[in-house]
Amino acid sequence: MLGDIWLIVNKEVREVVLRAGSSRATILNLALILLVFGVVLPLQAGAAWVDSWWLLFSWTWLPLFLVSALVADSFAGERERHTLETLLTTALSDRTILFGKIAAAVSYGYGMLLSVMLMSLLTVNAVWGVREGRLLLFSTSVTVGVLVIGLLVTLLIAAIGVMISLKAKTVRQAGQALSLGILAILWIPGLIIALGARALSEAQQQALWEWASMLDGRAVAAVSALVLLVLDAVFVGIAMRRFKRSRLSLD
Amino acid sequence: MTSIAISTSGLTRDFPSVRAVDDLALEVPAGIVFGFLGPNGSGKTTTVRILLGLVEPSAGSATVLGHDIVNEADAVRAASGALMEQAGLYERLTAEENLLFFGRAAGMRSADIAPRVRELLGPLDLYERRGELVGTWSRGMKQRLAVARALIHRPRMLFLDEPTAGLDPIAAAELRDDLEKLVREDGVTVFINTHHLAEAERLCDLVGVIRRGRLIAFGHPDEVRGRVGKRRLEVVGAGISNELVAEIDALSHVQSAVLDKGRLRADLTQAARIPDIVRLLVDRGVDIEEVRRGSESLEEAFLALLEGADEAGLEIAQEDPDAR
Ligand SMILES: Nc1ncnc2c1ncn2[C@@H]1O[C@H](COP(=O)(O)OP(=O)(O)OP(=O)(O)O)[C@@H](O)[C@H]1O
Ligand SMILES: [Mg+2]
Repeated sequence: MLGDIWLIVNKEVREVVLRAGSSRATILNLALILLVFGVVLPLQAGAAWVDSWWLLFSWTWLPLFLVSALVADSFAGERERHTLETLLTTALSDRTILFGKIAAAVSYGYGMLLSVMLMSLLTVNAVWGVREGRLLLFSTSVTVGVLVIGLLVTLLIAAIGVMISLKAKTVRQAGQALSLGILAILWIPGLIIALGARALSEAQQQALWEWASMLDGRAVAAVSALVLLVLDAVFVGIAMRRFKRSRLSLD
Repeated sequence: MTSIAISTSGLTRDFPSVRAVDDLALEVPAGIVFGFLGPNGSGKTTTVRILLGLVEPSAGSATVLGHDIVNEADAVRAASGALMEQAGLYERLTAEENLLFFGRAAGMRSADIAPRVRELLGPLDLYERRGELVGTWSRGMKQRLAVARALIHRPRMLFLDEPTAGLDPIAAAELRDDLEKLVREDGVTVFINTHHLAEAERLCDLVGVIRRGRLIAFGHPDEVRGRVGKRRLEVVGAGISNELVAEIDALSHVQSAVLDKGRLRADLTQAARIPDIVRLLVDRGVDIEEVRRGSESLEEAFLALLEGADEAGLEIAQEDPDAR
């Protein structure tokens, strides 16, 4: 089964990422992402790149969009390009096809996240590390946090996206629905916090702020990871129950 | 007794607004080419989808190569190759990448796929072009590649849903040639959907005619033709008068007789004896130059069948498959 999942991942990356347009455009796109997030931003940031919490937010959201682009295409793209029915006539099991599609999106998004992370470290060290005479690295907790939470978030988007793509008539439709979903996930908590904060008195806000700044970053990360893990399990479970080839709209 | 490749009983599929397949009972022996004939919307594609487990039946049951199509659909698909209405090729991949993908998906090892690709693409004149992106190919080439793709894992059962649809006559004829070559190869059983009658006559050992989801005829193409098809008689000669034609028209086994540009044309029932008619013409002083007989094409028989079913509002009795 792992071999078959890899077969789909391989086909998906080739078909949807590498050969989506001209090969030159594809390479240019990927190179541009690496250049901006792996070279330009770290160069500007300097040593702060590895020390600042805030700078993490300048690049860690990247996989959200890469994953959603690929996963929107997963089933809607096969339907649009008239290959879905033939794929379903093969001996590949429902589960293999589903996991293959999810794994492809995760590998792409997560792969780019790792590449950007490595590239940025190379960049800051080549310029600022040499200048300051020390090795610039993310702290262990940041590294683990990005690697673990990055993987869990990618998986979550992939699992939700695959279900949207199953139902969507076109890739475009799936992409729009998924982008809206991601925006909602990102904005709604922020909105709730902002509105909630307004309802509190100054003293209460002050107290809340103090409490928040006393929180242990590692504990917060661990709790977030746990919540994400549960969400992942739930959504992958739902996707598994939903995906039955005999219930799919073929045309 | 020949073994049975496909057997269905009471197979039915309802969609919200239409019953696409209606109480279908079919038995297709192994190792033959079976043609499933029917006009647009008659339920051919839905039947194949049910057999491959892509659509659930509303009622009834079926087996393909002995596997139940609901509970053992994975086994059915593993043993089958399919070319559905759409060629289903990945146009952004090369021909070879496509065959590799589908070969691996069928559980083949990469090392076994390479020689099989050569074996299949060679006779189709596509082997040299296997490195090209499929999206750049002509429709005819894609369709030939799609047949190769369906056969890559040497399936024992092959489903073809209107394989020559949308091809120009030359490309269609070429594909038919290729199908004949490829399909006769390893004793594979072929289930081919078509409304192209000449195709069915040329390729099929057995045909079933479906209309509005119901099977209305089943048998060897000649039998299906013979059962509804009329026999024709055409006589060229001097001295055929209108009176004589009227006399022949009145004979019991002659359905109709007309005079057309000095020639006699008559539609006969199966029981009519041509020598008797010829003798009558000679007796009446006709100078006969040529006597031609013919039967309807399967196409005409097919149309007659569909019309007959329309008029009678019922199915034409189905031949007992066991009788073969
Ligand atoms: N998924 C579906 N939902 C609703 N109706 C459907 C669906 N699939 C098929 N039908 C209907 O079932 C009937 C049979 O369709 P089917 O595609 O099996 O016919 P067909 O013989 O293959 O026709 P064609 O020669 O045009 O390919 C048609 O009336 C069609 O509209
Ligand atoms: Mg059809």
